[in-house]
Amino acid sequence: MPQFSFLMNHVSKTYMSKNIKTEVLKDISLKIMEGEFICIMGSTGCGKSTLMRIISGIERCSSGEFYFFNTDASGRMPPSILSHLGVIFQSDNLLEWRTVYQNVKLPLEIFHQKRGLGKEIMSMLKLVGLQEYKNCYPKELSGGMRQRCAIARALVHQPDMLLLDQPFGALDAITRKALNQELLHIWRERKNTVVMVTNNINEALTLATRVIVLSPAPAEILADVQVPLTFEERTHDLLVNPKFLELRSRLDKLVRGSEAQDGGGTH
Amino acid sequence: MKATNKMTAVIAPVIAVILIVLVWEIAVKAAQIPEKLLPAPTVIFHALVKNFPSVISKDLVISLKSIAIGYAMAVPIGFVIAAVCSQFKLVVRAVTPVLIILMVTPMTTLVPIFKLFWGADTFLKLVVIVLQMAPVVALNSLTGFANPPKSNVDVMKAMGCGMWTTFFKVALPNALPQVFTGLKLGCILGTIASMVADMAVGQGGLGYRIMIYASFASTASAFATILVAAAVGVLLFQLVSAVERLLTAWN
Repeated sequence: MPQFSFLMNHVSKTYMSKNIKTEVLKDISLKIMEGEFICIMGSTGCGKSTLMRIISGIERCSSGEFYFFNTDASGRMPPSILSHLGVIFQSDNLLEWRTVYQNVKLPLEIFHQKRGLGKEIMSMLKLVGLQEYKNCYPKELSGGMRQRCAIARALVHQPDMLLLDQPFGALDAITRKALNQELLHIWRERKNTVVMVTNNINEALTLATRVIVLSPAPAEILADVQVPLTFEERTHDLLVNPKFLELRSRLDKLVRGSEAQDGGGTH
Repeated sequence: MKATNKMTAVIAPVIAVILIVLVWEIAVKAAQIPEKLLPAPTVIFHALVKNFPSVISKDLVISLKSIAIGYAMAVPIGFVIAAVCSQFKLVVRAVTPVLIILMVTPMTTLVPIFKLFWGADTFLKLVVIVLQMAPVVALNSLTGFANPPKSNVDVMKAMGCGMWTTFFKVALPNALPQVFTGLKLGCILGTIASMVADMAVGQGGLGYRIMIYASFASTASAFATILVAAAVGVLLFQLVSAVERLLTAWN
């Protein structure tokens, strides 16, 4: 029986600033099974990034509860849970004073996983094709290489769950497509659970097994769409696949619908 | 191309110095300026060779010792003040103007008052040097520590790191360029402070020796000592710069 990796019950988030209450997330309930690839979509500013920041332990939710691998994580997330997560951010967030090798090493230092350290780092660098650049500083790398380094850093401590917040948004279309394919292969090989925020429908359908569409702020779950495409379908001629085209027009309507609602400002 | 650039970077200032010395020498000789007022470079050089082994070297050791001890005390003090204060936004705001005031106050002006407490002791020199160096080290480090890149802090938070792990892994290395600005300014201010403290306190040291030579109208020897004092400042600055280049190669 498949296990759930992540369970979220009635989670909301409100910010207080200058006595004005801003509701960002409203009653989000979500269950993610082991090995799923989830894409979260929604109009800009709808709170998808906030949702990711809560899941990755950077911020705390205002109310509600959530569980990782059957452990309660509603309060401050303990390192024992965080060490099972790998986070990739919108910008690569590399530490500029560390070489590629040292950047990838960071999670192992923090989580005290010193055994087989060098070997693990090198196999990660090989996976993302950066082994030749291990002694370079981030400023010597291109945008795509930097993000590859960030992927290696997120994977090096063997996390069970990968969290990606619009990871390739700042990259050019060709690099973005290449990295998406790499991500797909990594997911297939390592069988992690993946949650990724994106605003690109093609990207979501190439990668995800399930797409969640959020409403404009305060975000609620508008739709939960299964993507029944096989790995082969995803890697070959996806853009002309009729199943893909049908799903795309459906998602397109949903996402655009959420944007229209946003424009009306009625909620 | 690069090699030629490096060569020019060394050769150009050397030529400039040689030119200045030449003009100085010729002007003094041509205008027949008395040696007591402005000695020619060759005369100063002779005075240096004559007095360095027996007199100036001893004062050099005294000065280097007080600067080194002062530096060794001021740097950790300034550093700890900056590290602790940087963790609290309110404290950063409160402390910054105080540090600026301390930094621009010439601490040697306190010597007459301190003499009332401790008399004319070498300890007094150390107090002056530390008071002059520590604020500039603290202020520059504080500016660096207080503004770690938010994106990197997020990375640390996502791994559950606390305040001090984040400080040592992100804020500190990120601030190294600013920290070194403080350390370099500390060299300059510390050297100046030690010279003035020598003059005010006595008890040997290059500043003290310059004053003695000048009061006996041994202008050439005074200039020779000034030359040594300048060399001390330059050498300390270069030493810290070398360490900086080693530690901030990424920048």
